[in-house]
Formats: sequence, structure tokens, C-alpha cells
Amino acid sequence: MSRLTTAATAAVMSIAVSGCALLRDPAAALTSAGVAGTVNAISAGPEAEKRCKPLAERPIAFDEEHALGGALALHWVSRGGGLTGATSSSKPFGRDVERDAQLALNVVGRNLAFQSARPHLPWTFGIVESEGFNAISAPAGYVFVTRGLLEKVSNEAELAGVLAHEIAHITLKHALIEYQKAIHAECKRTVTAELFSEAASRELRNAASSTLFSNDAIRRMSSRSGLDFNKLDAQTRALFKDVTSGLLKTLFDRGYSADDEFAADLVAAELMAQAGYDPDAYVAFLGQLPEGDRALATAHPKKTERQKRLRDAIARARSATNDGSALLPFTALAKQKGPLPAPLATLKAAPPAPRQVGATAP
Amino acid sequence: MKKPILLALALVLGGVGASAADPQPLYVKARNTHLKASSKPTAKTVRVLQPGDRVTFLGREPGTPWCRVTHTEGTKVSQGVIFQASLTATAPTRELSSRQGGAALDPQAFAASGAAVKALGPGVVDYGKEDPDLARHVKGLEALEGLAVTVNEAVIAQAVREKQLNPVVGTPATGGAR
Repeated sequence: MSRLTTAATAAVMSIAVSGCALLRDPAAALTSAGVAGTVNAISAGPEAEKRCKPLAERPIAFDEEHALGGALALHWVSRGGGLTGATSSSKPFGRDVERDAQLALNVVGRNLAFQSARPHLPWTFGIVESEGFNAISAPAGYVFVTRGLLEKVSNEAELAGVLAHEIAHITLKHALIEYQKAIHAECKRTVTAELFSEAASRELRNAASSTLFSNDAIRRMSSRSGLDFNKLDAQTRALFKDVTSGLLKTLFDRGYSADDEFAADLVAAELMAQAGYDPDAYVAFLGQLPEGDRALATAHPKKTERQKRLRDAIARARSATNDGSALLPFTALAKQKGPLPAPLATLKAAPPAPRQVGATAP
Repeated sequence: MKKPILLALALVLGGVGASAADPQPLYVKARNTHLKASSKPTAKTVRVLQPGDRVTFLGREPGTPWCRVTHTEGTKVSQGVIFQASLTATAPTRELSSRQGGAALDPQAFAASGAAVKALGPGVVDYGKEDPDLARHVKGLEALEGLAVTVNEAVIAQAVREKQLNPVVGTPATGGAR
């Protein structure tokens, strides 16, 4: 084995054992190992794109969304320091104060969700222990708010606005779209690494070879019914681990695009008003977001811009013609701010439960 | 994908979508939407409709957020009023189910398939148990899902009445109503 090949093998081996999510640029790794002249970088990219294209175009069935949502939900709960009422007891929600608060949150959230564009999802709303100012969602109907956020909420309409914003991310499938992009990118990285290794040597091919994105795996994923996302076999679990770790980082560090956030705000205002809440309460609540912070989970666009866009949309709706023959502008249905539900007000006054060791805040 | 969503939003935000002069189908979007004989609080429920059901918009009850509609099922035509917020001009979202061979299901078929009632699947539970940071939250999340499903339409309808919010999500069908 030549010195160059040995160095390249070591480089690819280190990538392989680090996990696919870390395979950010296999070509660069190999180049740095000094084997650039032995591989064909020009042909690897298009070939990887061709092989992975079905993954970018396939529709994602609910079973897969549900599995992804459950996995992400576990991560959000873990990062949020655990569910309020379920962190320090072997019997989750054994105390009335936390159980009643979780139920009250679900009354507000599920009322909104049951009149959303995806009313039949298994909607689940939860409070996590973190003192950060945060709300976050996961596909298939999981929505979490932190105790820190609840501290800042002064009425039910504000809370409804926060929940409706997260519901909108789910109904608009924003995380699912990011997942689709992540899985496609992961496939291209892995396939590119395989192609480079084939060009370098047989030993490299063995080192970098992956079953996650073999032709058979891609075909099965693209066939909609080819993988069992309820049971998640070892191979699919491995895929999930790789993709969710990258996806978590994307969602947490970068967040959704500004367009996605504005779209979620508009749907939130609509949902609120249809349920009877005054959407102005949500506009005002946005003013409490810490500027530049990862408030409401991610690096959102500037709060002043969000408020302006929402105010304009609400004003346009309120000035729409109302001659009695057409559907009313949605804002005509809204009137309530309402006090915070009593169990949530009680929770705000209650001391936090003891934290689990090792819990991290969002 | 974004353009159709933005268009639909523009229609709703603008308060457009249907008019009596140009009758067009609307879709029920809220669970357990009550088609009532009139907008009076004591009016009987004629039928309980579900997301995706189509109705024909006949006009608004003057000065109220109630819409006069007809609903047809087979040869049976029902007429009454529906609270406006339960209706949308946008066709309902269809869900793909791999259990049904990748078929796109309308909301009622999706609900009937049982796909959306399950809690964390066994695969996700295994996924969580493989990571010590996640493993200790599996039980809590499962318990939360158990709490959430107890907040059903009847519980919500009761809470909405007490809070004087809009009666969009209704109680399940009873008596003669479907």
C-alpha cells in the first residue's frame, strides 16, 4: 500500500466512523490526504445527484413523518430539560399542578389544531422545564413551550398565538421540507464518498461503503411503502440518527427561512381569529421576543418586521368589503383575549420541579 | 409548494372565497362541524360534518357569522347554517399513508385508517432507548400523549362555551345527527 493510499484510507475511515452526518465534504478530505489526482471529481457529483434524485422528489407518507416527529420530539424534550411534571417522578404527571397545566395547554392547542388544515393529526402539546423563552414543534403534531415562555404570557390569546404559530409550521410542513433536503444531501455526500473511494482503491471502497444509501435502500425509500417507519429496523434507525442529528442542528442553529416564519405568522393569525382570539394579542406578544435571540426556537427574522407584516395583513382583512353575501373577513370573528387558564396561572406561581441531572436547556 | 399556499392565504385573508351570486363548494375544515337548523342558540343540529365534507354556500345569515349552506350525501340533501370559521374555500389536505400502499387519503379516510391515533411507534421508542439522553424522556412523552388524547372534541366544545370562544369544534354526533 502506498503512502498516499494509506493516508487516504485513514481519512475516509475517520469520516466513516464519525457518522454520515459529519460527511460534510468527502472530496475535500480526500484532497487533503493527497489523492486528488487519483479520483474523478467531475463525474462523482452528477452521478450522486442522479442516484439520489428520487429522494428529493418522493412524497413523504404520514408514517415516516410520524416517526421523524417522534424522534425530534424526544430531542426537543431532552433539550428542554424534560416535560414539566415528568422529570423527577417514576410516575409522570402524578402531581395535579403539572398534570392540570399540561391538560390546559392541550385544550387551547388542540382546539386550534382541530380547526387547522390538518385536523386529524395526533396533536400533542407539552410544557418543558427550560427557563428559556422558547416554543418549538416537530412533524406529525408535537408542540412544546418552555416554562420561561409561559412566564411571559399574560393572557390566553397570546398563548394561542404562540401555539398557532407552531401548528402552522406543522401544517405547512416546514420541518418535513428541511428533512427532505437533509436526506437528499446526506445521500449525495455518502454516494460521492463511495464514488471517490472506488476511484482511489478497493480498500477505500470497503472503508467508505454505506448501506444507508445503496441503490436498493434508495429504491425502497422512494417506493413509499418500502420501509416500515412504525417498527424502524436497524438500518432505518441508523439513517434516522444520521439525518436527525444534522436536521436538529439546522433547525436549532439556523431555523426556518424568513419566508417560512412569515407564512407561519399569517396562518397563526388566521387560526387565532377563527377560534375567536384577537390576533392583535399575538402581534403585541411578538414585541416581547428578545431581539437577536433564538426566541421561539430559532433565529427568527426581526420581530419588528414580523409585527409590521402581520399588522398590514390584519388591516387588509379588516378593511375588506362586507356586503353580507360573502364570507366574513376572518378578523371579524375575533374578539377574545381571555385570562390565562387557571391551571397555567397556578403553574406559573409554582416552583419548578427538581431538574434531572444532565438536562440541557434549548 | 409555496405559491398555492400563499394564494390560499390571500383568499382567506381577503375575506373572499365564496359568494351567493356565484355559488361554489366550500369544505368543512373543523372536526365535528355542526350543520344547524338555524343560528339560534337552541337550534337543533341537523348533521355533524367532518373535515373534507363539501357544502354549497347559499349566503350569510344577515349580521351574523353563520353561513347558509346545503349538504348532499347520496340522495339526501340537508340545509342549515354552519359557523363560518368551520368552512374554507381551500380543498382539504390529503395525507399519504404507506399502510395503504402510498395512497393519498382525504381527511375522513385518513382518520378512519387509524394512522393518526397511534402514539410513539415501537421504532421511535427503540430509537430513544439507544440514547441515554433521550431514553429517560420516552416514558414522559408517552404519558403526555396519553393526556393529550383525553382532550377530545367534547372537552374542547365545553371549554369553548365557558371561554365564549367561537363554536368551531363541536361535540360528537348524537341522536338523529350523523
